[in-house]
Parts: sequence; structure tokens; C-alpha cells
Amino acid sequence: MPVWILLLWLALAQNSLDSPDATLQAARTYIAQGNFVQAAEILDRALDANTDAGSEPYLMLSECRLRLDQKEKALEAVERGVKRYPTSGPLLKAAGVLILQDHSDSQRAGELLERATKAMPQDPGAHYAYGLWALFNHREEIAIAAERRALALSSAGDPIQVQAWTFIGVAEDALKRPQRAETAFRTALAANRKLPNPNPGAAIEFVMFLTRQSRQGEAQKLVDEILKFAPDFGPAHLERARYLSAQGDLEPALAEGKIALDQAGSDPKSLRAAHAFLAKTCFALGRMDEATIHQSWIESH
Amino acid sequence: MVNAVKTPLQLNRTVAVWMRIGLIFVGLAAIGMAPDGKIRFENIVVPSGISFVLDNSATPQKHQIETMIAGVAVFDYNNDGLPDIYFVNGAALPALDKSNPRFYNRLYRNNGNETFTDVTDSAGLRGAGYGMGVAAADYDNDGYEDVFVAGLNRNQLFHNNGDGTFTDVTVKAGLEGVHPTLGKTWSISAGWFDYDNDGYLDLIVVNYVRWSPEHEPECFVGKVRGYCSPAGFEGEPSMLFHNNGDGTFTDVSEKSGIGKHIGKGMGVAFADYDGDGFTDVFVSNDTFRNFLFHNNGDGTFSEVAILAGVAYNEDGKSIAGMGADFRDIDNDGRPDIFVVGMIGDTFPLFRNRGRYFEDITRTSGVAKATVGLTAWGAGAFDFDNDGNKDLFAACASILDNSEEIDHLPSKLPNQLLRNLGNGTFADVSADAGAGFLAPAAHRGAAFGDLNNDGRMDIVVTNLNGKPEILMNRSQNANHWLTVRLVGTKSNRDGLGARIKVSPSTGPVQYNHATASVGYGGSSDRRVHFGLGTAARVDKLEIAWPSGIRQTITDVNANQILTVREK
Repeated sequence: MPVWILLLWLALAQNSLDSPDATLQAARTYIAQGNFVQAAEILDRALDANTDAGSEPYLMLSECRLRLDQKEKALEAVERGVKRYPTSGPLLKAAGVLILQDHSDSQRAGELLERATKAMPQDPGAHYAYGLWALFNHREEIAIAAERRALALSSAGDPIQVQAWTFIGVAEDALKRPQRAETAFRTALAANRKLPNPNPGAAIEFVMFLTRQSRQGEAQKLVDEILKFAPDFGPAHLERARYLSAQGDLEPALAEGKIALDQAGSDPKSLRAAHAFLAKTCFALGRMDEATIHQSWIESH
Repeated sequence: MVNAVKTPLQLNRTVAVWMRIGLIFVGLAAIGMAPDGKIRFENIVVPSGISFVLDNSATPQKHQIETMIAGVAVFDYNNDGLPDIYFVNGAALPALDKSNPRFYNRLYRNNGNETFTDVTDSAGLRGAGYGMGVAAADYDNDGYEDVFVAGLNRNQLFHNNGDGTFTDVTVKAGLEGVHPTLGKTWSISAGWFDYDNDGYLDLIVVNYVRWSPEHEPECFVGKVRGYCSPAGFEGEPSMLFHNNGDGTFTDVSEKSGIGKHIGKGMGVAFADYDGDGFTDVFVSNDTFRNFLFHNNGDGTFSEVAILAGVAYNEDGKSIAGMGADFRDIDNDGRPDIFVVGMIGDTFPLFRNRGRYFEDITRTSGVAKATVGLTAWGAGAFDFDNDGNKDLFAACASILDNSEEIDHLPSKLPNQLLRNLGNGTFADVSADAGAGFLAPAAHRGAAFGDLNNDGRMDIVVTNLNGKPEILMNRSQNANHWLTVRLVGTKSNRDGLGARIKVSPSTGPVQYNHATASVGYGGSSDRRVHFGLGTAARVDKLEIAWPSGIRQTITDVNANQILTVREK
């Protein structure tokens, strides 16, 4: 799962779920037991009977649906909530984030998240998610402003800080302001290093920036550092593989590429990138059988 | 002994001379001609006399074809040594009727003084239907370059009669563009190359998607109608036609293997990337992986893009591939590939490592420069004659209402990336002159030395506007050499010939003869070399498609050298 999605969940998790309602209490109990099916059922029933139960049941129902891997239903729940409570910040944020995860170019997601920032001006997660949407949609200045707001509202040590600085770096780079971008990436890296579990996804963005600046040497040093704190981080292995391949070191490149593939998990983008690299590298090494396997995977996905 | 101390008068004279020189420099700088090493272009379309307007017959229905036109050719139709220009044009929709003069394709004869004369009518090159791309070459080896126009539902071959007129020989040649099973196709680009080295140029026609106005979906973003994504259409295979040498062609698409690969073809470019003596084919596809057709030398091709590492960007993702060029950008003797795409794609640059390619888009600085751009035409030429081929992209959004749909400008300035000679490129667009920087709905681009001054010029089409005739006004002392090939055993244009140049100073350089560059375009077939400070070429080696190898020594720079195959 991409790091930004995890961070979006983190932003969502900041919503308060307190409510005195008995149905909610029951649902909470089920959730605590890991019985999301039961929780979803009683929440569904409760909301069918009374749509005016407040925003919280909608949020809880959405959470249950997500746990049950029912993303469409999760979105349906919060969209229902938004319809009933159009100024509810948590609902707006949840709906916007859910849409953004699958449709990064969605105008609806942008609209919901912008409304969320207005409904919850002090919520760093809302600004963070809105900034991410803006970044995805080539509105870099808006992205920078939103991420800066998220930074101002979050505390030092909050993982959101690392990611927000990283997105500012990406946005500044897109605006062709490399010095500002580098400052942001360096700030993100410094904050990242202080985390108990540094975020390799944020750090790899700095690597990408450095390579875009044709600074491969510095980039590879950072790759080495990433692989020290996150030895199983596939994208860093792939980046190392690409560097080795560019140097003509095809055998070690192949080995790194294979690690990248092993670590790609089920993420389709990582899998695809690794297979594409391996197909080419095996072909270059004259290992046609292996190359064909990777080619076939790509063609069938 | 002469007193070295200057008198006030001498001093004044000296100051006056320097002031004069300074004023000249300032004056030159004001019109973009300062000898400063920068690459500069001047758009001369207004004084050139070219009044062509690329007309897509825009409709509220936003038919897919409207945004796709069109290519342009730079070729010397009358053999006067001056490259002429042929523009392809649209037609009235939905009837695809070209009878209104505003839709004529237009041929402009180069008068030699940076002006052009419209000779479309006398040449008989108005064309028919909704045109897309063009490929010019001498397919019958009679010494005159002919014209093939690719378009929607019909293609046309015009034979150059050698007297300033052309004859439509499409039917006789068997090149109407009708696929044996799919019927009429939508052809975007075409290219001439001699795949079997028999001395006659064969033709590849690059097809796009299955489209008809009757079956076109309506595409909206919110309430705003826009052009549909090609992802919603079925692709079409390219077609390969073997030149029989008697004015007719045989469809060898299936037999060759080319026709087995369904894509959404846009650009086509040729090079012998593995040095086996047979020309290979690169086809860029829109929202589909690119194709690299390796020429097996026996009349068949193997599609090896995934294995060779040029099918996708480095993330293994298909891009919206548009124009392409297949040329050696690092002077290692191995042709590299440059493709342009859509915003967010970056424009992939693949470095040839022999039998596979390395994606150097990021590390070369090209990603940084192109991530926010969409481009159509593309080419790799040495615009400042420093010995390193630079990159050009004709930029514009796909949507003509992208301001409304995604808050991005629909009209964009072109882009120029200077090859720094160390594997990296710098965006020098901002210094390339006001005419170069004007945002427009750019589409196809063709390259050539229109005024034979040794500097590569660019013709760029502009949707619903006049083209840009970008004359290269770069001021530097760099030398150059342009080679005009005349094949005798090989095809007469010498297309496919590989040339190695060893300048008197500086590194060895490589280029090859091809007219297929960019998006739907056809460029000056003469092979251009920037020589930097070298005033002479010690050795010029030509590997002709026939297999003949020819070496010429001690060649002076700054000339157009005609080499006859022997």
C-alpha cells in the first residue's frame, strides 16, 4: 500500500468517535471485538431508521465497511452522511479521502476536502489531505499552502510533518523551484530521521528529486540510508537496481531488482515497475526464459 | 620607438570603436542575434508569405479527430536544393469534405529568400478527406520525392512527376488504407524505409483507433464536454507495405508480423538500433505500450519493446506516447529514442545500450524539464552545431478547453532542451526567442535547413492558427556539415544509411538518414552534423542500406555535401 494512503488513514483516525447513543455503544463493542459485520449491520439499521443520528454513526459505518474491505459501501456511508450533514468536517474529510484514494483526479474529492478544511480549520489532517489532492491535480500553490497549514497545526514528531514537507518538496519541484524543493525535502528528511520508525516512502521522494537533478551520487547515498532503516523497502531496492544497471553492473542490478519484486507485495504499481525492470535486465543478460516470464506478467496485467 | 601612450584623440577613437562594437552587440541582442552561444529562433511566418491555417473544423461535439491534426513535411519537391513545406489539413465535419479551400493541404515552394509561394493548385496537392500525417520520399527512385498523406478512412499517395506536378496514384499503388479485416482505418503517421534493403522504399502506415462519428461516446468532465480519452476506443494495428518496384505495393502486415500488434499508434521513427544492417521501427502508442519492431532481416519483425525496455516509462506504465525520434543523442554509435507524451508522463529518453535501452529520463534532466508538459511533435537535432543533438518538443494540451476542465492552459510554448554533452539536458526554451516561446496549440513539427545556412530550422503546425516557421538564428562560430545522399544500389534517398563523421577536432559523431521524425511529420532527409570548432572532417564513413561502405576523407565543413553511392 502506498505510504500516502497510510498517511491518509492516519489523518482520518484523528476524528473523534465519542457518542452517548446506545447503538453506537453496541457498535463500538462489536468493533472492539473485531466483529465488523455485526457492527455494520446495527449501524446500517440504525441509520435506516433514523438518518438524524448525528455524523458519528456514518463515520463508524464507513470504518466498518473499510475493515470488511467494502470500499464502495464505506464511501456510500460517508456520502450519505455528507448529504444529511453537509457541514460535518469529519464526514467531508472521510468522503474526500476515500474518493481521493482511488480517483486522484476527482473534482468531487477536491470539493469535499476543501469544504472539510473550512469546516475544521484547525484540523491538520483535513489540510494535509486537501493539499495532497491539490498536488495530484497540478494545483501546486494550493498544495503548498494547505500542507504548510497542516504543518502549522500539527506538532513536532507527528508523522504528518514528514509527509507534508515531502509534498511541499514535490510541489516546489513541479513549480521548477528546485532550491525551495530541496529545502523542503531536507526538512522532511531531518524530521524523518527523528521518528522511531522513519518513513521510507517520504525519503524515496527525495531520492527521486536528487536523480531528477542528475545528482545520482547523493541519491544513492540516501538509498543506502533508507535501506538501513527499512531494509525491505522495495522502491529503494529498485532505485539501487536502476543505478547499477546504468553503471552496466547488470548482475547486481538483477539481484536488487529481484528483491524489489519480492518486496512489492500486492501493490500493482510496484509489481509492474519491478517486472518491467527485470524483463529488460534479464533480456540484456541473455536470460530469455526469465525475461519472457516477466514480459508475460506485464502483458497479462 | 613608438610611444604607446595614447593621445586623447586616439583614446576617443578607441572608445568610439569599442562603443560601435558594443552598440552592434546590443543591437544584435535586441533582435536575438547576439553571438552568445544561445540557441535562438525567429518565427518568420508573417514575412514568409505562408498563410496556411490548420483547420480542424471544430465542432461542439468535440469529435476525437479534431484534436489530432496534423503533421507537416519539409522536403525538396522540385530539386532546387531548397526544402519546401507541405502542410496537411482537416476537412469539414462530419462529411469529411475538403472542397472548401480553407481545408486544402498546402504546398509552399521555397523561394530561397525566406519567403514561400503557395503552389498547391499547380502541383495538384490539395488532397482529400481529413488528413493527419505525411511522409515524403522518392519511392520509385526517379529522383523526385513523392508524398504520402495518412488520414481518416483514406490515405493518398501522390507521385511527383518531376515537373512541379503530382499525380494521385493511390489506387494503382494499392495504398488506400483499407485493412483486410478492419476496413477503413484511422491513420496518423507513415514512414518510408527500406526494410529488406532491396533498393526500394517500403511504407509503414501507423494506425490509431477505431473511430466513427456515429459510434463516438460523449465525454464530459462535470458538465463540460471534452475530447474523449483514447482508452475508450479499440486500437488498430499498423500496416506494412512492400514496394514491388513497379509502382505498386503489397500488404505484408501479417506476413511481416507488424500487423499482429494492435496499438494506438501515433509517431513512427526508424533506426538500426542493434547495428545488424537492417532498419528497425519504433512506434509510439497513445495510452498503450510502445512498439519496437526489430527487423529480423528475413522480411519479418519481432516486437521487443518490453524486453528492450522502451515499452513503458521506468515505472512500467504506458504513457500517452505522441511524437518520437530515434537518433543517437550521445554519439556512441547507437541510436537512442526520444518520445513525447502527456502532462505527468514526462518525455521518455531511452539510451541505447546495444540490444536494450536504459531509461535516462530522470537522470538526464529531461523528466525535470518535461513533467508538466504535453507535446506532439518531437525531434533530436543539433540546433547549435556544438556536436550534440538537442531535443525539441512541440507542446500543447490535448484539450482545447483544458482551462475549463483541468485548470491548465490549452496553449503552451514549445520546449528546447540543450544537450550538455555529459548525458544531461538543460531547458533553454526561455532563451530561444520570443517567437519560440509564444504559446499555441502546437501539433506536428518537421525539421530541416530551410535556408541552407547550416542551422536546423523547425516548422511547427498550430491548430486553428498559422504555423510557426522557426528560423534558427543562433549565433556562434560552430561549424557544420550536411550530407545529401544519392543512392544508386540503395534507395535513391539513401534512407537508412548510417553516417559516421570524424571531425578534425572533437569526438566522433553518428547520424543516419531518415525523414520520419516526430508526430505525423516528414523532415529534411539530408543528414546534418554540428561540428563544433572543427573546420574539417577527416573522415566521413557511410554504411549504405545496400551494404556498400563508402569513405570520404578531408571534407571541408560548412557545406552541403552530395554523396553518390559507389
